[in-house]
Amino acid sequence: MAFMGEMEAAVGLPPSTADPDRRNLEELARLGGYHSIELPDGHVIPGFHSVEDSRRRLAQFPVPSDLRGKRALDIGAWDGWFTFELERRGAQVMAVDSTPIERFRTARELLGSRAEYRIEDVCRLSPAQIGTFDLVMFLGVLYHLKHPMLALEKVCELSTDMVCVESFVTDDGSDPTAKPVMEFYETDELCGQFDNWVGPNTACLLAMCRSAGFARVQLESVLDHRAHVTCYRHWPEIEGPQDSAAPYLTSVENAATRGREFSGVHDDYVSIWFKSSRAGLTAADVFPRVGPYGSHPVYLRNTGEDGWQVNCKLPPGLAPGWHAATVRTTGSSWGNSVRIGVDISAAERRQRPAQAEASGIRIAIATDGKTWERNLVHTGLGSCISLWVSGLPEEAARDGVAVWLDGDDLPCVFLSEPDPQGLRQINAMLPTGAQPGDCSVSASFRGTLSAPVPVRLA
Amino acid sequence: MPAERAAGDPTFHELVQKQVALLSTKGWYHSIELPDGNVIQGMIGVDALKQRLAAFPIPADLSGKRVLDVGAWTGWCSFEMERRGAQVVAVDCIEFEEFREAHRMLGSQVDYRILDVEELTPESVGLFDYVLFFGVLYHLRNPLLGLEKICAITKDTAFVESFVTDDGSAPCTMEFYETNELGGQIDNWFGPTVQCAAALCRSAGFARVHLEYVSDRRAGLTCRRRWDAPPAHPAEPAPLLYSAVNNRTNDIQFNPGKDEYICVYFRSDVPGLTRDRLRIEIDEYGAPALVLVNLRGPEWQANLRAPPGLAAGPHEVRLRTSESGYSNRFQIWRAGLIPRGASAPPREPCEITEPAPVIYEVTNGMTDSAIFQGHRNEYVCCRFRAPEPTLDRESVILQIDDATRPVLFLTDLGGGCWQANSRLPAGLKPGPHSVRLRTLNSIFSDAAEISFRPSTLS
Repeated sequence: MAFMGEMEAAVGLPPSTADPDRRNLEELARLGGYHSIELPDGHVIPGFHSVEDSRRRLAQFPVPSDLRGKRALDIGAWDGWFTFELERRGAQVMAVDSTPIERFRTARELLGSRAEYRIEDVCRLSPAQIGTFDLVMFLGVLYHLKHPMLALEKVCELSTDMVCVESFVTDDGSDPTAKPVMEFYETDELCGQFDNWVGPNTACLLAMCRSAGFARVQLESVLDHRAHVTCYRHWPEIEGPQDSAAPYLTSVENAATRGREFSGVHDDYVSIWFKSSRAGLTAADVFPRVGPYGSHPVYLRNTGEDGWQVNCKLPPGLAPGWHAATVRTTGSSWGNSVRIGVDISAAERRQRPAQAEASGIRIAIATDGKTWERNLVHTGLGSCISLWVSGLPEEAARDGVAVWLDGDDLPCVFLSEPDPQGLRQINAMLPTGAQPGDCSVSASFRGTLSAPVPVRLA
Repeated sequence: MPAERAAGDPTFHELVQKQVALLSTKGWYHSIELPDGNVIQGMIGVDALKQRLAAFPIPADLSGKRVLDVGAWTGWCSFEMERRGAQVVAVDCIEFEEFREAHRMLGSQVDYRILDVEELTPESVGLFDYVLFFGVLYHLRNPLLGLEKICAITKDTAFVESFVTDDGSAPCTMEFYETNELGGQIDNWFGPTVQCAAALCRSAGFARVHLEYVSDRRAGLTCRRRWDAPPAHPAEPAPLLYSAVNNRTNDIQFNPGKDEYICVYFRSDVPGLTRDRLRIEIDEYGAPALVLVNLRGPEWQANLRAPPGLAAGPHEVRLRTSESGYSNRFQIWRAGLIPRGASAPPREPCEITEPAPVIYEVTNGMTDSAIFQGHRNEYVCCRFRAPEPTLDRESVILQIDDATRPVLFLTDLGGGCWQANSRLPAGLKPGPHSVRLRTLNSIFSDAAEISFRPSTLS
């Protein structure tokens, strides 16, 4: 098979050993390198792969020809052909490898390259250490890793836009409905090389890329048991006319705890409840977004009439702090957003954003939305708060109104017309997992906030 | 025993009767037997729980042992281990009020902790003689990482129970569940075959993995960290261990957090030695070989992963065959305490009491010739005779062209023969160069010649 020629893993065994593909090892030793590298004067440092091979590999991905102003990361850089090519296209490039390759340094010197070179294992890379990148190349590395999902999550965390993944796969990619299965190589079953650990089929590779937290994943090609997959962190721009009304978010929760707290360290999922005028939604029609990143739906259900619940993974790499969660559907613009706190303290969770107070909005009454008990809300499934407020502008409509429960914004799900006293009723849903205790509640309309009133959660 | 303390206490009896009535309606997972003979009926009956436990060779008397129950759920196994006399820690990823209720009713001393598998470390929970890992593996996004964590805190044996996809005949693969494909549950990630589950356990670092049963898509595996006892009357000669080095650096230092392997070089006169007959040990823990390669004649190389959980500092490697006694020991270091080989300063020469060593061979470690081309992984392997019975790498001074080079490792080849490895200095001119060495107590040997012929650009 073609992958028998891949010598990425040859470092552990001296060439004098009984390697099943000793001829290739000898060829590698004779040529001295893996990638061929073109020098400015036209000379070529010969390597196991020709310059044409490397060009063909890169051409499988929609990498822009102009990368000026972009930061790129090349994981598993080897002799550096991809690093130097991305740099030639204008990117500021960091190359990472698990072992230092002398030929990389030599080629960098000969080319006058300014690429930064780091020696680190992929699972130990972090944005805190090396920052984030517009483009990440992750070629020929995945199947060498014992923890492929962990690595893909790390790669996702490091990227802000696009990741090119190339990996050995066990099939030819012709059956997109194949059951996702991964071979596990305990010893040297794959090519007699002991540091190959997993061999996914194409369906499994795609599923793992999606599960790592990317918004969307595109299979570009499978050539000689190598799959080329482009992973994007954003949804595409809305194409064509926006023929649907924007969805209206009514609640956002942590899918496990049912509260509003999220951890960037754990594998957290976000549940978004929304209303959509578009009937018969499928997961392919729903585009959740948290902070700057899209995250594909892992679960969608109709909660009755125009109500929907969608679950998605909290996108990796969100900085600690507040992030806006929102959603759009096929043909719609983005819905209203609800903020969620990622890795923030309990004290921070109680703080509202700075908004103009004393806007004239005043809460007359705050009650449980079902029992009408004053200044008390029962928590749990279907928990709801009702406020009667004065001072809302006449033009105020549901979509601009929210209830703040300490630092959590709860979208208004119902806004009444003024009663004879001029009070309007606002209903909002509490997170199911809201913790009992004392809190303060305000009503807001387009960035103006009422004075808070105390409410006990029971 | 807690059960005896609580039995016969009328207040406790009344409490139990109330709890039984209350909790029986709550939907427990494990049934729980109370001291008075009452049983809280859960999803799994007491007989089934007993039967599952009986499938594993868990001692009936666990007095003085520490036991960890991972994924304790409502705690039947934890309480059973405590009943057998163990000091028990129960861990789950979410808190079960039922566990706490049962804990109270039984007067249990079990230490209940809420932790993810990936948070289990010797620092967070300590080490355990026995670990129960029932029904957790397939819920992990990184199953091998989870097993490595389990192995690192196991001193003796881990009992692993998991969902499997076959009856034991299928090849070594795992299914990947992107959403709720398995049982409609969203928290299932990987379904291994029986062979794959066993391979994952071995790859995690367990020396011996024994399949206890497969039935109804569940498998039970007993995973031991130590080899069986060596034969009382060895039928084969013990191997001679030359060295154990990091595959990436050829140094004796390794970093457990990195994806490094240990290459063990040894001599064994056993013809046709196979991987499954090899018993490599680091400290008291067995470490299975990933590959075994016959280099030439009685010379062998085996590659392995360092067992997880080794503390920073020195560790001793030794090996035997299934029919031999143990070899000599070779010391390796987990990084963190000593500087890397290149910066370790040689000791000052002492009084000259020994004759000069005699170099009988200097070769390129890659090609076994005296010609060097400047490739990475080209080590200067200097074999010499010296009468001193003990030498370490700080007591050998090796020079190339009269400049001292670090000895990266030193190994006893037996019969007064030694091998010292070093690297060529940077910026070496093409042509012949001299290599010589001395010990701290000897004068320099005669020089041996090597040739540097760097590979040229085309």
